[in-house]
Parts: sequence; C-alpha cells; structure tokens
Amino acid sequence: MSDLLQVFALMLVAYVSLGSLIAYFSRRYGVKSSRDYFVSGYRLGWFLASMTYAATTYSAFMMVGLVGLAYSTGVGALGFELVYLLATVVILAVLGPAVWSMARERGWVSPSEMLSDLYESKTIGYVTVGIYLVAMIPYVTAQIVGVATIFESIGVGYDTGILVMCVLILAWIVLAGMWSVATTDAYQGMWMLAAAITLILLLVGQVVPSAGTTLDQVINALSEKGFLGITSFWTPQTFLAYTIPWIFFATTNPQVVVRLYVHKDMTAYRKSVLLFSVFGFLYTVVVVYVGLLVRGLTELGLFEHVSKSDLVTPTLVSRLHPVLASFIYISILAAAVSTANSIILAVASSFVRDLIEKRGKSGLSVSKVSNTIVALLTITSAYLAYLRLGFVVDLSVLTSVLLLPLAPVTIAAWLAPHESKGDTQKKAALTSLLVGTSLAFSFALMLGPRKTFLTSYYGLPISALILIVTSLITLAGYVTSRVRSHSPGSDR
Amino acid sequence: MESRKLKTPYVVLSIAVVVLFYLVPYLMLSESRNLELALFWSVITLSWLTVTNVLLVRGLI
Repeated sequence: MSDLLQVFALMLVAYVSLGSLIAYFSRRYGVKSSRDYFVSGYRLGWFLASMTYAATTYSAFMMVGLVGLAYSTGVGALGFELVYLLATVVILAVLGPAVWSMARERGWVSPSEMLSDLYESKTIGYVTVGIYLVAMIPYVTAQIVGVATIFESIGVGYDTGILVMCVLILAWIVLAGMWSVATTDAYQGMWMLAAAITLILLLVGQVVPSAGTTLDQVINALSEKGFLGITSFWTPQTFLAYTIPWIFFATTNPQVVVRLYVHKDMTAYRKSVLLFSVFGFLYTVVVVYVGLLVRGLTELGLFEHVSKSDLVTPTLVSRLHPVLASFIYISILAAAVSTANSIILAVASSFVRDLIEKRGKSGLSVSKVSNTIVALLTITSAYLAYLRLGFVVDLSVLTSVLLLPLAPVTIAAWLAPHESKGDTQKKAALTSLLVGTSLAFSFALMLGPRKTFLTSYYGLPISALILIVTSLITLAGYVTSRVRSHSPGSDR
Repeated sequence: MESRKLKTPYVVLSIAVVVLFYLVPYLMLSESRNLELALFWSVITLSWLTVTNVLLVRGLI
C-alpha cells in the first residue's frame, strides 16, 4: 500500500468519524416534525446558517472544475465566479428578508411548497418537484462520479468512492435532518476553506520558490500568454452563458432557497449573509489563483501541460506530500458531500410536503417517510453514478439552465406575493415553467447538454433566451391581471 | 420596524454594479497585461459586498 493510500485512509477515517460525531450530537436539537427535519424548525443561528449556505453552494466544482477553468481559460474564470457571489449577496440582501419572514408566517418547509402557496396552485408545486428531479438528480450523480473518480485515481476504487459518498450522504441526513446536515456542513466548510488556503500558501511559499522562479516571473508568464486578460474562450456570449444561470442560482436551486427559511431571527440572518460574503470571496479568489499560478508554472516549463482541465487539480495534488494531498482530496469529498446531501434533503422535502403531507397522508410517520425518500433519492443517484451514464453526468452541466425558468416565476411572486394568486398569474407561471423547461430539455436532446450550454442564437446563449422567454410570459400574467383590474367594469 | 429606506437606490446601484462588472472588462480591460482585470473584478465585488453588508446590518435595505 502506497504512502498516499495509507495517509488518505487514515484521514478519511478521521474525517468521517469527526463528522459522524458532530451529526450524532446534533440530534440533541430534537426532530419531531417535518419542519424540524427539513428546516431545523427555523432555529439555526448565524454561524450554522451561513456555513451551511456556503458549503451547500460551493461544490466539488470549485477545487476541481474552477481550478481547471482558471488554468485553461485565464482570469475570466474569476469574473464568472465572482459575479455569482455578487448577485447572490444582493439577492440575499434585497429579497431574502421578505422570504425569511413569509416562510415562518406561512409555514413553508419545502421550496416547491413555497411556490404552490404563493400561486395557490398545487399543479405548480407538482411541476416544480418534477423540474427538481430532472435537474438535481444528475447534479448529485455528478458529485458522486467526481469523488468516485478521485478514489479510483488514488487506488481506492471507483465503487468504494460511490459507497463512501452514499453512506455519508445518507447517514448525515438521517441522523437529524437539517440539523445534522447544517452542523456537518459547517465542519466541512471549514475543511474546504482551510484546504484551499493551505494549497495557495504552499504554492506561493514553497512550490514557486523551490521551482527556481518568483511570483513576478509567474505573473509575467501569464501576462505574455494573455491569461490575465479576456482570452479567446471568454467571448461575451460564453461569459453570459456561464454567468446568467449562476446570477439567479439563489432563486432557482432548491437547496439554497430552503436555506432562506432557517435562521432563528433577523439578526442571525444578517450576520449569516456577512459571513457567507467573507467565505465566498476568500474561497473564490484563492481557488482561481491556484489555477492561474499552476498555469504560470506550466508556461515557464516548470509544471507539465495538462490538456484536460478537470485533471489540473489531481495532477497538482499528486505532486504534494501525502498528508497535504490527502487533506486536499478530503476537502473535495467534503465539498461534494455537503452539496449532495443538501440537495437530497431539499428535493425530499418537496416530496414529503407536496406529495404526502399536503395530500392529507399525515398518518404516516414523518421521519420514516422522509428517511425513505432520502434513501431512494440517494440510491438512485448512486446507481446512476455506478452505471457511468455519460448523458446523465453531462446533464449536470445543464442543471442551472434547466432550473432557470424558476427564476422569473419565483422572483415575481416574492416581489408581489399579494398578486401572485390570480388566475392569470397562475397560468402564466405554469406556462413559463413548462415552456422554459421543455425548451432547455429539447435543446439538450438535440444538441447534447454541453453544446446546449454554449450555443448562441442571435448573439445570445440559450440560457439568456430561456430567461427572456420565461420572464416575458411571467410578466405578461402580472401585467394582464393589473390591466384587467384597472379597466372599466372590472370587479375591483 | 426598520425603514429599509435605501432599498430602491440600493437596487438601482446594484444593477449598475453588475452591468459595470460585464461592460468594463470587455470595453476597457480585455487586453489587460497585468493584474488590472483581476483587481477590477475583485475590488468591485469586495466593495459592493461591504456596502451591502453595512446597509443590511443597519436595516437600511
């Protein structure tokens, strides 16, 4: 057994043991209802609320995908990820407090329940659950595949990776629902940030000097090759294609929408936005600079050229001391687990609330039903990962685009909750969801998910076109209703 | 009940910041040879995050 394998196994045991202890002790907060299970009974303090938001949002994509993107496409990757953070914090500041307040007034537990309540339409709730299933299961599958591939590359085995992910996702949800997820997310978030900072410090303080070069020379190399400007990859259309779905991430993704409900009071809410801002900024900048520094070393001939962007981090980590390499690998596992279990919990909440509790089947034990659905979703994702279906993993690239029709529908209802219940608004919202998702899925089938993501028509990426179409449909519903209510002879 | 009296100007300025986030790099910094583009994106993000959090904590938005 190699040194790396031994150290990795030891660190994995330590990570799992400590996480499981944290999850176990979170049971003391008590889970008696679906509200406790899925949204911690609206009792999370600022630290847990913030860290679970951060660890849920930032997946394994950061340390693998974003490092590779910065390496292969330059500083545009920084703009792509920072505009997400900027837009998210603005949304959290402007719309979040009202959502937090409405959630406890109206007793929202799931994100689809929120929409069906705002529009007074069960159908909208069901359609939303369907969209979540189509969009989120591939995303969870991609997280599992990512971890399994890393396990395979260091000799632990692909199937073992799937098993570890599956067990951790399940166990850390089932122990105490949102409580065990939030507490382990806080633990994993710290692990993720610590690993990223350690890696950049190591690169700057040790790798660069020991390679016989300086930071200035690395920056000069990047500059000469144009990696510090807008490279040919980042055409305006590509930048829009990457950023538009992410700008609306906070309003479309169930795992983060549900995290707007969980704070124990408004002070906790505000403090959590502050801590998330700090975490997001630090993590993004550090991760992008890792990719850029490695690219600079490559341009200086001091690091091999990595042609496949997802292999940059594994190639870099394979050159580190086994302890550091294991630390980074576990941080990637932590990022994947914290994202995957939050998604599973949020999607399960929609099933339990919209399809079971709201249909009067409350005689069933909430925890048994919830745990069963969590198990079914986890096992389905793991099985898809086991099959290595290329289309499913590719579809995860389109997750944010598939969810995009939810943005105008959700934002309109948040802004005008007293108007959203009208028949016209309801029909417009439903049409918007069906048309938008059908468009995204049709393009995915015709062009393939990856090409759909980057294809433009009339100078606009498909995501922008979907956003425009769905926004117009949604807006038409609200405007028509207002015009009717102000026209002579109306009832009002 | 806090007033959130700066909400509207804050929303307008936030949209302006996001528009600048897209326009400045493509119109002025696309040929950036040093760290100007990285600094622009970092500074504009950090500044607006700071403004947002100060206003949010004070209940002004």
